[in-house]
Amino acid sequence: MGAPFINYIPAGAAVSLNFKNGPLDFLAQDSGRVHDNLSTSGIRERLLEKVDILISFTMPALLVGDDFTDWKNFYAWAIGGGTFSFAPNVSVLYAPAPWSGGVYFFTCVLEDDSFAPKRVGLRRYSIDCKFRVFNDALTPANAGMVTEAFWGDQPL
Amino acid sequence: MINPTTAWTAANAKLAKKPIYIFAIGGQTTVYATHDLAKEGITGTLPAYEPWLKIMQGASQSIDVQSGTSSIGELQCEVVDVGGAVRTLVGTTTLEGSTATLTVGYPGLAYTDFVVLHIYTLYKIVPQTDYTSFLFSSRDVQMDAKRTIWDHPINGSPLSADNPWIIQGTPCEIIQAIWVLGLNNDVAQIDRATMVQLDSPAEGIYSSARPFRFEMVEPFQAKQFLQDQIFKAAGMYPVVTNTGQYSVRAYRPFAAGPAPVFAFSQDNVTVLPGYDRAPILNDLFWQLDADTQQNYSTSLLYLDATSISSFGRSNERQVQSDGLRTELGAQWFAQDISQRMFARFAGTTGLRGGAPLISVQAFFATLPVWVGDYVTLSHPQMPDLFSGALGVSNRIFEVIDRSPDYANGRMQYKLLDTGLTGAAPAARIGAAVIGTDVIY
Repeated sequence: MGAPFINYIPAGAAVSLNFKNGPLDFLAQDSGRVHDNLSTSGIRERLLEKVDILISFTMPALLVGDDFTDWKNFYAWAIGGGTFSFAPNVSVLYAPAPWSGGVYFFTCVLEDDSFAPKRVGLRRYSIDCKFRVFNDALTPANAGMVTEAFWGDQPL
Repeated sequence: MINPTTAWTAANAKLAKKPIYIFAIGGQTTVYATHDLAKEGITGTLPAYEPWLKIMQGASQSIDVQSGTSSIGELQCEVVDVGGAVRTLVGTTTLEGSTATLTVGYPGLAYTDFVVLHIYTLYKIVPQTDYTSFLFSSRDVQMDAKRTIWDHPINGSPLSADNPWIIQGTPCEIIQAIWVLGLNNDVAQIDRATMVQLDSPAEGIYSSARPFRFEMVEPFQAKQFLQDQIFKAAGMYPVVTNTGQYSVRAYRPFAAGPAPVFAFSQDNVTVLPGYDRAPILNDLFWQLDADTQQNYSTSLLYLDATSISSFGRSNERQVQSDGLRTELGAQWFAQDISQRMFARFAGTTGLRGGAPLISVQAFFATLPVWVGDYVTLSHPQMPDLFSGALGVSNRIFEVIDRSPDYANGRMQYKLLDTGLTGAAPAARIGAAVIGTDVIY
């Protein structure tokens, strides 16, 4: 099974962030911003603003001096709000345009506002990551497509 | 009442829906939307747009019927400054004074189905505290009347005793004179169709009354003048329509009777409607026949004796209109307006007190209801104050306050009950056709 992949452009030159270990507890969720009005007779009117796709996972044991540096640099840039490309699984190729048989990816922004590693061992730290899928032409129709791609299936 | 297309009405009536708002600035080709229009399936020719609009605030309108006044609506639209594009626009273009148009539609509709909610005028644009967005503040068309008229519109010289501007006519004719001649505003900004109808002989509201003759010898503020001198004296109040036009409503419906445009019921109100009462009005003190120093030579006092004796108190309002002239029929006019206002607010027409004011919180689907509309309200749990029974059915109200809450997707209204329920249409002589002529 392929690993996820991040590509970001901090200062004109693209940087690839390769996952040296797989993430734990990978979750993609549809989070609807809704407003419900309940009539006095019990009829519900629902107004939907937007369904946001939120992705969360844990990088369990980043090694200081190795992949910890990659994530530290990524967070230092991404906390500023920049968009980056995220592929849930580099082995998943996707036929429809604009991917046209290339790796299935989409655009995200970092939902976290801090880099907060937790110590898990000697020189080892874990971080809990949360991404928000950015609204553009690449946006998946739903969070389930992200989950399917993560597990190596074709997103439907 | 907003007049949307059938497709819009059907989409708006659904119990699950996704409103899409578009904020357009006059003179700018790019509009700002809450959603990506193409991705939401909006069809037809789309304008250049950016999905950077956050939910809007404001745009409420509140009427004081007895004083003939209306609050000035203020709309605030926040646009996210993606990549500094809005900052560049605001910093390189004078947008203040441009129109701000807010429209709303739903996924899958044609772009032409979107309906206009408000057309205001931008007056302030500031970045938000974190500089990530800009707040566009705009006000309704009444701001265009909140100006001082300094000069005689015919000769352009300052108003003075030697150069008075004589304004004469029906209330609606004077409104139009002030708006178009005095303020030099675009005639398209006023709802002439309604004003013409109010002056129509067939309606019998103001057509037979030209009691005003003003001699304006010093500068005056137009909005204040209209409220104090015209609306209050004529039982009118101003309304700003959804298309941004300045309109007026009279003391009674048109001859056909009140035509409710919407039915509020237990199925579309979200809390039990709340009761209040408007102040009782049973004492009107008029002053007219003013000279140029605003000394009034005629005073008239009209009382509703039944109301005063029933409730044990009088509540006086004073009407001072410099243009009301006895020789033009002002005394008859004052008596007629007094009777009309007492019929609405003296509490003697079965209302058992001040005219009921109902607060309603309602579904977003009620969005097309507008200030000045007639609506019905039915609710099985409301106490009927006029029968003692439980439940109110199809009672007719006048909408005098409308507050949209776009952020939370709900609406609030205040409804005024002046006893119109069951009122028959005004009697009118039937039309006859002789040859090709319609004879009334």
